[in-house]
Amino acid sequence: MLQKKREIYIKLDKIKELVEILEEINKLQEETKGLFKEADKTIIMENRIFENWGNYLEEISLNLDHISI
Amino acid sequence: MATRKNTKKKIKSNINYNSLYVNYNEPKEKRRILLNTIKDSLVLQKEYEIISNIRGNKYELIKKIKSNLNEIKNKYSEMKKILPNVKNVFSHIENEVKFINKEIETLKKSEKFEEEKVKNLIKVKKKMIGTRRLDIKKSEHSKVTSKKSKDEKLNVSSKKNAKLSKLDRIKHNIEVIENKLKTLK
Repeated sequence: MLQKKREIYIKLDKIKELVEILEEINKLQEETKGLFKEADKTIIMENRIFENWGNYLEEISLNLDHISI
Repeated sequence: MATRKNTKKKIKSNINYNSLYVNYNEPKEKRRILLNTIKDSLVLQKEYEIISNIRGNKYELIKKIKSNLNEIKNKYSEMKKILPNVKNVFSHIENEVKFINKEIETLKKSEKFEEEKVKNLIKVKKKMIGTRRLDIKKSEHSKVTSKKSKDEKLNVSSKKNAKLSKLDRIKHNIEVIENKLKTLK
């Protein structure tokens, strides 16, 4: 079966406004992408600090055991 | 000065009766361990502050992302308003094509039907014309025949009249008049 190719033409009255809106949307999209990357970095930093906290707390408990008289 | 002496005496009296003395082995090592623990606790405090800062930054970032997403949503709605409404164009076109095809088929059928009708009408007309011609011929023929018969009658009567003599004609006329009189009575 051969598929017929269909083309639809739409008349756009406000092309200038549409282009401006699309540019703004593109800018916002890129900005949000950067913000998401930053948020990911901060979340990774937070997780690392929590892991370090665990290590420090283990060390402190061990030291306190040694100190017992 | 007197108060200081009194306090010292009090402490000595306490030590003498209530305190317990324990041998403290390796004091330097223990001091080192204690200092390490204090250092670790201080590092923990420092990192807690870092985490509080990071959480503040994260909150601000999430706020910014939310505002950006809202802006994008608004812009998208504006764009939608500008763009023409072309929802389900393909399905509409398919439906229109189907409808047009159906109409074409119905028109073709009606055309065929009308052609047949016209053919039948032409046949009927031809038949009618043929019958009329025949009728005309017959009527003409009948007219001709009637004329002929009249003429023949006239000829016969004229012949008869011609054959009859004057006296006979008179007699005949008298008879006719008598018959009419009879009818009047």
